[in-house]
Amino acid sequence: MRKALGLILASTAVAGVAGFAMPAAAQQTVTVWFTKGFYEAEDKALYAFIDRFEKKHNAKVQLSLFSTEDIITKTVSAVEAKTPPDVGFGTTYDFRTTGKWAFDNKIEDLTDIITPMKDRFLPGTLETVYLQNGTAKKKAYYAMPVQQQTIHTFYWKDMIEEAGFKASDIPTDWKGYWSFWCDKVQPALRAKGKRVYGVGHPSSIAASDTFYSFLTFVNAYDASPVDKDGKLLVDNPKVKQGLVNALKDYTEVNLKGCTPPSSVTWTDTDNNVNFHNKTTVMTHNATISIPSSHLDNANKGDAQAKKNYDELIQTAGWPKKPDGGTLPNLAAVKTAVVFADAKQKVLGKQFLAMLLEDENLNPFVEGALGRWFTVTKAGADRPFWKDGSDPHRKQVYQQFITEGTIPFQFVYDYHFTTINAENVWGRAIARVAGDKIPAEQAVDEMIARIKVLVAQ
Amino acid sequence: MSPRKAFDEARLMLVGLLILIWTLIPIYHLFVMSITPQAEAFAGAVWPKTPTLDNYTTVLTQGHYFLGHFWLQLFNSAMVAVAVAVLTLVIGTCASFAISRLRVRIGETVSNLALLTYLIPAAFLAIPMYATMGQYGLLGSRWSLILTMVTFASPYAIWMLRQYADKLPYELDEAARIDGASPIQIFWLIYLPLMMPSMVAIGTYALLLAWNEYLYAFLLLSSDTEITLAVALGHFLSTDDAPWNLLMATGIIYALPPAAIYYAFRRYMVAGLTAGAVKS
Repeated sequence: MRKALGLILASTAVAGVAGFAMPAAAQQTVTVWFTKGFYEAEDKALYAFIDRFEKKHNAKVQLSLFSTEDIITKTVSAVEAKTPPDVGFGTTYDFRTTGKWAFDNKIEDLTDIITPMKDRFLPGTLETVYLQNGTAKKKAYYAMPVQQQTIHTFYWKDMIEEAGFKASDIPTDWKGYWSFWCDKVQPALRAKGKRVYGVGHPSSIAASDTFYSFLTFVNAYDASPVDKDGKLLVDNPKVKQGLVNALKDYTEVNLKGCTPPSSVTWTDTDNNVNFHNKTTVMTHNATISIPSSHLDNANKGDAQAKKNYDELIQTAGWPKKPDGGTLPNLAAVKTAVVFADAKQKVLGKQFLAMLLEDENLNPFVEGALGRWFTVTKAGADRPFWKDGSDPHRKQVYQQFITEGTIPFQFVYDYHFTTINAENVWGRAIARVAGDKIPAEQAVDEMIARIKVLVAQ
Repeated sequence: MSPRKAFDEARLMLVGLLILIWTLIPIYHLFVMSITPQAEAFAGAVWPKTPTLDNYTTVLTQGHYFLGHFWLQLFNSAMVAVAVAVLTLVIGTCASFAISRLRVRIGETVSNLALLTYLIPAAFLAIPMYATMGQYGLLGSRWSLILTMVTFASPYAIWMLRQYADKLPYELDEAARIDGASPIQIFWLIYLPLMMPSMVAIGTYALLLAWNEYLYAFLLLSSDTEITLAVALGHFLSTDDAPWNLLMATGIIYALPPAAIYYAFRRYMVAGLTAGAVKS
């Protein structure tokens, strides 16, 4: 009797648990994981698109939104456990995982949906999703470009005026540019009793801003450690010298005391925070998140934020390279993927194809107030970017469209996702700025580590 | 009091004061940020120029985009925490009763094995646990988090409750048996009332463990309406310009229930958690 009672209770419990988890209906459901938007407008645009998709395809979209870091951990766990969603879009997938997933055959070939819309993409976007599959031994379009970012510089106009300078005094040559902030603006403000720093210079291992900025310095010296065919160039004496020069220039800002000492432990938020509270006069940052946050506050009625956005914060490009040439803008294209273990691959692909339609993509991208740039020609042609009325977006447009962009190294060799994740660049900066070893030695160590990671 | 004793007391008080300040500084910053308007959030002031409770109003009225499901997510946290506490207690008391009072044959082994499970850090089991829940079809359901947290809380509960149960005089059980009590009656009428202090302590431990859980909560739950508030707080960090003042206000509200529970049951916590520490 007692046994029977136990069995009944156990069965009831199991049935209860199972019932709790049972899918509600047989309607086709596509599971979608996205990075949560910075602003409500982004997610609203996504919800509106999903509504249109569900009606058109008579399907249900099960959407989950995660923070930038969480979506990486969650998706990697799901892929390893072979229970991924159908579609994933993470704003750091490109840095961390897309290349490796393509190589390991974990994501679907999207060539069939990208080919018909190839002409709609801006130059420099599709190249970054044309990835090597190590199993199929072929290159193909393994991800969908959705939006992109590049690195800009920002300064407080009122602070350089207080230091006795004008915007037109900012040099455009490489050495003069950095010297201006460190040797002119900072001392002038310090002389007035201000405890400020010329540059907000991300220098930590923890911040992705560090490698974004450092690799821009690397490009200034034409010292890319890998070529377009994926061949490692770190033993090339010219490349090696370029890396040394880039590291010397980068860490000179730290060694001069021109950036807050805490910048060696900053996370990605900290250069924004130090700039917002005017601890630094200028900083460099990938996306215009700094002015955009003031625009967001201005839109909520904050008058000072409006003044900051309209007048005081200036968004600018980079100085010329040390050799006088134009510094290429390093762009990261944010990617969406359909997973190889997805249950609804066809529907997942249809989801991405429809997302890229102008009426769906443009509100989604523009909802970010300019933090992300579009990947389509039609999107870039819209007044939001093109009419020049917004000084910050005007600069973004100029860097992407007028000046053009180049991709990160991980596009050519997926191992560089691991190199970036380990922040080999940040470690070299720490060795010079923190341990005070010569840049040559730090570069030797850095190259040795890159070789180990590439060989894995 | 002799001067030497007074000096020693003063020294100890100074050390205590330093530790108190060190402990309270983060809480102070948490509170100050929670009453600071957005515009002043990074002014670096020790006290805001215009302190405000607006941040709390925004949180409680779900007035920000990141807080659209605040009350539901708070409910999810509470529901998961209470369920974990109840299930852990059910498992812990039944297991400890069987091991300590019914003296089942492999009881000792089970009790020791339970502790062995703590040799593997919970974070290492994230992907296997995720895969397991996927196979059961429980991903995205709060049950997946409840069952996972019960898995992590139960071994400790079994071990602690067993230690406490061993201290209860076995003669009570024998007397009850002579009076004709069945094992269920002994469990219900004698064992549970005597175990109450330890059960409160273990229940509180399991509840706080589940309430504060982040890793498994965000791994196993997905939709905005299913996640716990701890995971929802992570959404604030989607942006490198997080509304820190709202995050801190939400954090304080989130910290209040466990703090209240801890102080309400503090007496039992100390008595219960140290119950099996020394064999008498």
